Amino acid sequence: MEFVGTLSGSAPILKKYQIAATTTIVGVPHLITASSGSGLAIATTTSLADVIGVNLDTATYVSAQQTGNANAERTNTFVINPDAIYKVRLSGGAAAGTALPLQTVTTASSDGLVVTTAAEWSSPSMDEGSVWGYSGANVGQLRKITSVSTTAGTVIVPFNYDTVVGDVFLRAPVHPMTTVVAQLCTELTEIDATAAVSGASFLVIAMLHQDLAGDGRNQSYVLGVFGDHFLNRLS
Amino acid sequence: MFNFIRTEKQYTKADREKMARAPGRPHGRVAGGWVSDLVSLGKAVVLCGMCQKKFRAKKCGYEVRRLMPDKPYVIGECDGCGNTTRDGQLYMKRQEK
Repeated sequence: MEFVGTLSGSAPILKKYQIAATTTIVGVPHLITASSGSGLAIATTTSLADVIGVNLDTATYVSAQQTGNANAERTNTFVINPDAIYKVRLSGGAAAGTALPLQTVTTASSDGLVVTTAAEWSSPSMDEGSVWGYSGANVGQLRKITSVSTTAGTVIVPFNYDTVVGDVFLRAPVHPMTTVVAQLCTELTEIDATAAVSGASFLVIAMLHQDLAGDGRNQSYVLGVFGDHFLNRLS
Repeated sequence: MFNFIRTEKQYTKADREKMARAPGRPHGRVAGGWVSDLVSLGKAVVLCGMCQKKFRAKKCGYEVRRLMPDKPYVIGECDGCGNTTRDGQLYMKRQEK
Protein backbone atom coordinates (compact mmCIF):
# COMPACT_ATOMS: atom_id res chain seq x y z
CA MET A 1 0.00 0.00 0.00
CA GLU A 2 1.28 3.38 -0.90
CA PHE A 3 0.26 6.54 0.90
CA VAL A 4 -0.80 9.10 -1.71
CA GLY A 5 -2.65 11.79 0.21
CA THR A 6 -5.34 12.66 2.70
CA LEU A 7 -9.03 13.46 2.36
CA SER A 8 -8.56 16.65 4.37
CA GLY A 9 -5.51 17.81 2.45
CA SER A 10 -3.37 17.68 5.59
CA ALA A 11 0.31 16.89 5.37
CA PRO A 12 1.24 13.35 6.38
CA ILE A 13 1.72 12.86 10.12
CA LEU A 14 4.58 10.51 10.87
CA LYS A 15 5.17 8.69 14.14
CA LYS A 16 7.62 6.06 15.23
CA TYR A 17 6.17 3.10 17.12
CA GLN A 18 7.56 -0.05 18.59
CA ILE A 19 6.64 -3.13 16.64
CA ALA A 20 5.80 -6.64 17.77
CA ALA A 21 6.90 -8.51 14.66
CA THR A 22 9.62 -8.32 12.04
CA THR A 23 8.77 -6.36 8.92
CA THR A 24 10.71 -6.95 5.73
CA ILE A 25 8.67 -4.89 3.29
CA VAL A 26 7.21 -1.40 3.46
CA GLY A 27 3.58 -0.51 2.94
CA VAL A 28 2.20 -3.09 5.34
CA PRO A 29 -0.78 -1.99 7.48
CA HIS A 30 -0.28 -2.31 11.22
CA LEU A 31 -2.87 -2.59 13.96
CA ILE A 32 -3.07 -1.26 17.48
CA THR A 33 -1.06 -3.17 20.03
CA ALA A 34 -2.80 -6.34 21.14
CA SER A 35 -3.57 -6.83 24.80
CA SER A 36 -0.33 -8.00 26.41
CA GLY A 37 1.40 -7.33 23.11
CA SER A 38 4.79 -5.64 22.90
CA GLY A 39 4.08 -3.29 20.03
CA LEU A 40 2.05 -2.66 16.93
CA ALA A 41 0.78 -5.85 15.35
CA ILE A 42 0.77 -6.65 11.66
CA ALA A 43 -2.66 -6.78 10.03
CA THR A 44 -4.08 -9.95 8.55
CA THR A 45 -5.50 -10.61 5.11
CA THR A 46 -9.03 -10.35 6.44
CA SER A 47 -8.75 -7.87 9.30
CA LEU A 48 -7.88 -4.20 9.41
CA ALA A 49 -9.62 -3.50 12.71
CA ASP A 50 -8.10 -0.57 14.61
CA VAL A 51 -5.44 0.02 12.01
CA ILE A 52 -2.76 2.64 12.74
CA GLY A 53 -1.20 3.07 9.31
CA VAL A 54 1.41 1.58 7.03
CA ASN A 55 5.12 1.34 7.72
CA LEU A 56 7.64 3.41 5.79
CA ASP A 57 10.67 1.40 6.88
CA THR A 58 11.46 -2.07 8.17
CA ALA A 59 12.95 -3.61 11.31
CA THR A 60 13.86 -6.97 12.76
CA TYR A 61 11.97 -7.61 15.97
CA VAL A 62 13.92 -8.95 18.95
CA SER A 63 12.70 -9.92 22.37
CA ALA A 64 16.00 -10.73 24.07
CA GLN A 65 18.65 -8.53 25.61
CA GLN A 66 21.27 -7.57 23.12
CA THR A 67 25.02 -8.00 23.26
CA GLY A 68 26.73 -5.10 24.95
CA ASN A 69 23.41 -3.82 26.26
CA ALA A 70 22.51 -2.53 22.84
CA ASN A 71 19.01 -1.20 22.45
CA ALA A 72 16.47 -3.99 21.91
CA GLU A 73 13.72 -1.57 20.97
CA ARG A 74 12.70 -1.86 17.34
CA THR A 75 10.60 0.84 15.75
CA ASN A 76 9.07 1.62 12.41
CA THR A 77 7.83 4.93 11.06
CA PHE A 78 4.12 5.08 10.26
CA VAL A 79 1.80 7.47 8.48
CA ILE A 80 -0.98 7.78 11.06
CA ASN A 81 -3.46 10.14 9.39
CA PRO A 82 -6.91 8.60 9.93
CA ASP A 83 -8.09 9.97 6.58
CA ALA A 84 -5.04 8.78 4.68
CA ILE A 85 -5.67 7.68 1.12
CA TYR A 86 -3.77 4.64 -0.07
CA LYS A 87 -3.10 3.40 -3.55
CA VAL A 88 -3.40 -0.37 -3.56
CA ARG A 89 -2.61 -2.66 -6.44
CA LEU A 90 -5.16 -5.26 -7.54
CA SER A 91 -3.50 -8.65 -7.56
CA GLY A 92 -4.67 -11.65 -9.54
CA GLY A 93 -4.03 -14.06 -6.68
CA ALA A 94 -3.19 -14.47 -3.04
CA ALA A 95 0.43 -13.53 -3.72
CA ALA A 96 1.31 -9.91 -4.39
CA GLY A 97 2.48 -9.16 -7.92
CA THR A 98 0.21 -11.69 -9.61
CA ALA A 99 -1.35 -10.52 -12.87
CA LEU A 100 -5.13 -10.22 -13.01
CA PRO A 101 -6.67 -13.17 -14.88
CA LEU A 102 -8.18 -12.39 -18.27
CA GLN A 103 -11.91 -12.94 -18.68
CA THR A 104 -12.48 -13.84 -22.33
CA VAL A 105 -16.05 -13.71 -23.58
CA THR A 106 -17.33 -17.11 -24.70
CA THR A 107 -20.93 -16.14 -25.45
CA ALA A 108 -21.88 -12.86 -27.09
CA SER A 109 -24.32 -10.44 -25.48
CA SER A 110 -26.54 -8.48 -27.83
CA ASP A 111 -27.45 -5.88 -25.24
CA GLY A 112 -24.06 -5.31 -23.59
CA LEU A 113 -25.40 -6.36 -20.22
CA VAL A 114 -23.75 -9.72 -19.67
CA VAL A 115 -20.13 -10.79 -19.68
CA THR A 116 -20.15 -14.54 -20.14
CA THR A 117 -16.84 -16.33 -19.76
CA ALA A 118 -15.49 -19.76 -18.96
CA ALA A 119 -14.64 -18.65 -15.45
CA GLU A 120 -16.77 -18.91 -12.32
CA TRP A 121 -18.35 -15.59 -11.20
CA SER A 122 -20.40 -16.71 -8.22
CA SER A 123 -17.78 -18.54 -6.16
CA PRO A 124 -15.93 -16.58 -5.05
CA SER A 125 -18.64 -14.08 -5.75
CA MET A 126 -17.79 -11.04 -7.85
CA ASP A 127 -21.22 -9.55 -7.13
CA GLU A 128 -21.05 -5.82 -6.28
CA GLY A 129 -17.58 -5.69 -7.78
CA SER A 130 -16.32 -4.14 -11.00
CA VAL A 131 -15.81 -5.38 -14.55
CA TRP A 132 -14.05 -3.41 -17.23
CA GLY A 133 -13.00 -3.84 -20.83
CA TYR A 134 -9.42 -4.94 -21.36
CA SER A 135 -9.60 -5.31 -25.13
CA GLY A 136 -12.37 -5.28 -27.71
CA ALA A 137 -15.01 -2.66 -28.45
CA ASN A 138 -15.63 -1.85 -24.79
CA VAL A 139 -12.02 -1.30 -23.88
CA GLY A 140 -11.57 0.92 -20.81
CA GLN A 141 -15.27 0.99 -19.85
CA LEU A 142 -15.97 0.08 -16.24
CA ARG A 143 -19.30 -1.11 -14.88
CA LYS A 144 -20.56 -2.29 -11.53
CA ILE A 145 -21.47 -5.95 -11.37
CA THR A 146 -25.01 -6.26 -10.04
CA SER A 147 -25.53 -10.00 -10.22
CA VAL A 148 -23.52 -13.09 -11.00
CA SER A 149 -24.02 -16.66 -12.12
CA THR A 150 -21.62 -19.56 -12.47
CA THR A 151 -20.46 -18.35 -15.86
CA ALA A 152 -21.37 -14.68 -16.13
CA GLY A 153 -21.38 -11.28 -14.55
CA THR A 154 -24.34 -9.01 -15.24
CA VAL A 155 -24.44 -5.24 -15.18
CA ILE A 156 -27.43 -2.86 -15.19
CA VAL A 157 -25.83 -0.03 -17.11
CA PRO A 158 -24.84 -1.68 -20.38
CA PHE A 159 -21.47 -1.51 -22.03
CA ASN A 160 -21.57 0.86 -24.99
CA TYR A 161 -21.15 -1.95 -27.47
CA ASP A 162 -22.37 -5.54 -27.59
CA THR A 163 -19.90 -8.00 -26.17
CA VAL A 164 -18.66 -10.49 -28.73
CA VAL A 165 -16.81 -13.76 -28.43
CA GLY A 166 -13.14 -13.03 -27.92
CA ASP A 167 -13.59 -9.70 -26.13
CA VAL A 168 -11.50 -9.63 -22.99
CA PHE A 169 -12.51 -8.12 -19.66
CA LEU A 170 -10.93 -7.78 -16.24
CA ARG A 171 -12.81 -7.92 -12.97
CA ALA A 172 -12.34 -7.16 -9.29
CA PRO A 173 -14.51 -7.71 -6.22
CA VAL A 174 -14.40 -4.03 -5.28
CA HIS A 175 -16.23 -0.94 -6.55
CA PRO A 176 -15.94 2.74 -5.59
CA MET A 177 -18.25 3.99 -2.85
CA THR A 178 -19.74 0.55 -2.54
CA THR A 179 -17.16 -1.82 -1.22
CA VAL A 180 -16.37 -1.61 2.47
CA VAL A 181 -14.21 -4.68 2.68
CA ALA A 182 -11.43 -6.22 0.68
CA GLN A 183 -9.24 -9.24 1.17
CA LEU A 184 -5.55 -8.54 1.16
CA CYS A 185 -2.76 -10.58 -0.35
CA THR A 186 -0.46 -12.63 1.82
CA GLU A 187 2.09 -9.81 1.83
CA LEU A 188 -0.70 -7.41 2.94
CA THR A 189 0.36 -4.78 0.43
CA GLU A 190 -2.18 -5.52 -2.30
CA ILE A 191 -5.82 -6.51 -2.67
CA ASP A 192 -6.54 -10.06 -3.74
CA ALA A 193 -8.91 -9.44 -6.65
CA THR A 194 -9.72 -13.12 -6.97
CA ALA A 195 -11.25 -13.38 -3.50
CA ALA A 196 -14.88 -12.64 -2.73
CA VAL A 197 -16.02 -9.25 -1.47
CA SER A 198 -15.25 -9.89 2.15
CA GLY A 199 -12.51 -9.43 4.67
CA ALA A 200 -10.72 -6.32 5.87
CA SER A 201 -12.44 -2.97 6.24
CA PHE A 202 -11.23 -0.85 3.35
CA LEU A 203 -13.36 1.80 1.67
CA VAL A 204 -12.71 2.14 -2.03
CA ILE A 205 -12.84 5.71 -3.33
CA ALA A 206 -11.75 5.24 -6.93
CA MET A 207 -10.74 2.59 -9.39
CA LEU A 208 -7.55 3.20 -11.35
CA HIS A 209 -8.39 0.47 -13.84
CA GLN A 210 -6.25 -0.01 -16.90
CA ASP A 211 -6.83 -1.75 -20.20
CA LEU A 212 -4.49 -3.58 -22.54
CA ALA A 213 -2.65 -0.40 -23.51
CA GLY A 214 -2.06 0.43 -19.85
CA ASP A 215 -1.04 -3.11 -18.87
CA GLY A 216 -4.25 -3.50 -16.90
CA ARG A 217 -3.39 -6.95 -15.65
CA ASN A 218 -0.46 -5.56 -13.69
CA GLN A 219 -1.15 -1.85 -13.38
CA SER A 220 -4.70 -1.65 -12.05
CA TYR A 221 -5.06 -0.03 -8.65
CA VAL A 222 -7.70 1.28 -6.29
CA LEU A 223 -7.61 4.35 -4.08
CA GLY A 224 -9.17 3.94 -0.67
CA VAL A 225 -9.13 4.67 3.03
CA PHE A 226 -9.17 2.39 6.03
CA GLY A 227 -12.70 1.87 7.31
CA ASP A 228 -11.68 1.17 10.88
CA HIS A 229 -8.76 3.42 11.72
CA PHE A 230 -7.85 3.54 15.37
CA LEU A 231 -8.09 7.33 15.45
CA ASN A 232 -11.34 7.57 13.50
CA ARG A 233 -13.59 4.60 13.29
CA LEU A 234 -15.71 5.09 10.22
CA SER A 235 -17.39 1.72 10.31
CA MET B 1 -12.80 -2.78 57.60
CA PHE B 2 -12.50 -2.83 53.83
CA ASN B 3 -11.78 -5.70 51.59
CA PHE B 4 -10.01 -4.85 48.36
CA ILE B 5 -10.32 -7.10 45.38
CA ARG B 6 -7.34 -6.61 43.11
CA THR B 7 -8.06 -7.06 39.45
CA GLU B 8 -5.83 -6.89 36.44
CA LYS B 9 -5.45 -3.33 35.19
CA GLN B 10 -7.78 -2.68 32.31
CA TYR B 11 -5.79 -0.95 29.63
CA THR B 12 -7.76 1.12 27.22
CA LYS B 13 -6.82 1.19 23.55
CA ALA B 14 -5.46 4.69 24.11
CA ASP B 15 -3.19 3.30 26.85
CA ARG B 16 -1.90 0.66 24.51
CA GLU B 17 -1.25 3.24 21.79
CA LYS B 18 0.76 5.28 24.29
CA MET B 19 2.75 2.23 25.39
CA ALA B 20 3.65 1.41 21.79
CA ARG B 21 4.94 4.88 21.04
CA ALA B 22 8.69 4.90 20.60
CA PRO B 23 10.44 7.19 23.07
CA GLY B 24 12.90 8.43 20.45
CA ARG B 25 16.38 9.72 21.17
CA PRO B 26 17.56 8.57 24.62
CA HIS B 27 18.35 11.22 27.20
CA GLY B 28 21.93 12.38 26.94
CA ARG B 29 22.41 11.00 23.46
CA VAL B 30 23.92 13.41 20.94
CA ALA B 31 21.51 14.15 18.10
CA GLY B 32 24.07 13.50 15.39
CA GLY B 33 24.89 10.06 16.75
CA TRP B 34 21.23 9.16 17.03
CA VAL B 35 20.52 10.19 13.44
CA SER B 36 23.62 8.27 12.34
CA ASP B 37 22.23 5.16 14.02
CA LEU B 38 18.95 5.57 12.17
CA VAL B 39 20.84 6.03 8.91
CA SER B 40 22.96 2.93 9.46
CA LEU B 41 19.76 0.92 9.96
CA GLY B 42 18.21 2.40 6.83
CA LYS B 43 15.33 3.92 8.79
CA ALA B 44 13.15 6.83 7.80
CA VAL B 45 14.45 10.11 9.21
CA VAL B 46 12.32 13.18 9.92
CA LEU B 47 14.16 16.48 10.41
CA CYS B 48 12.89 19.97 11.16
CA GLY B 49 13.97 23.04 9.24
CA MET B 50 16.92 23.74 11.53
CA CYS B 51 18.24 20.18 11.66
CA GLN B 52 17.92 19.67 7.90
CA LYS B 53 20.84 22.03 7.40
CA LYS B 54 23.10 19.76 9.43
CA PHE B 55 22.19 16.53 7.67
CA ARG B 56 24.16 15.65 4.56
CA ALA B 57 21.62 13.33 3.01
CA LYS B 58 23.44 12.60 -0.23
CA LYS B 59 26.60 11.56 1.59
CA CYS B 60 24.56 9.15 3.72
CA GLY B 61 22.85 7.63 0.69
CA TYR B 62 19.57 9.32 1.60
CA GLU B 63 17.18 11.49 -0.34
CA VAL B 64 14.16 13.66 0.40
CA ARG B 65 10.95 11.71 -0.05
CA ARG B 66 7.70 13.51 -0.80
CA LEU B 67 4.76 11.36 0.23
CA MET B 68 2.33 13.81 -1.39
CA PRO B 69 3.27 15.62 -4.59
CA ASP B 70 1.76 18.92 -3.48
CA LYS B 71 2.94 18.74 0.14
CA PRO B 72 6.69 18.94 0.53
CA TYR B 73 6.49 18.73 4.32
CA VAL B 74 5.53 16.16 6.91
CA ILE B 75 4.29 16.60 10.47
CA GLY B 76 6.21 14.68 13.10
CA GLU B 77 8.89 14.71 15.73
CA CYS B 78 12.33 15.75 14.54
CA ASP B 79 14.82 12.92 14.94
CA GLY B 80 17.49 15.54 15.57
CA CYS B 81 16.19 17.96 18.17
CA GLY B 82 13.09 16.01 19.18
CA ASN B 83 10.73 18.94 18.68
CA THR B 84 7.43 18.50 16.90
CA THR B 85 7.69 20.04 13.48
CA ARG B 86 5.03 21.02 10.97
CA ASP B 87 7.53 21.65 8.21
CA GLY B 88 9.63 18.54 8.58
CA GLN B 89 11.36 16.83 5.75
CA LEU B 90 11.22 13.07 5.34
CA TYR B 91 14.46 11.42 4.31
CA MET B 92 14.55 7.84 3.07
CA LYS B 93 17.32 5.62 1.84
CA ARG B 94 18.00 6.38 -1.81
CA GLN B 95 16.48 3.80 -4.12
CA GLU B 96 18.64 2.46 -6.91
CA LYS B 97 17.18 3.44 -10.23
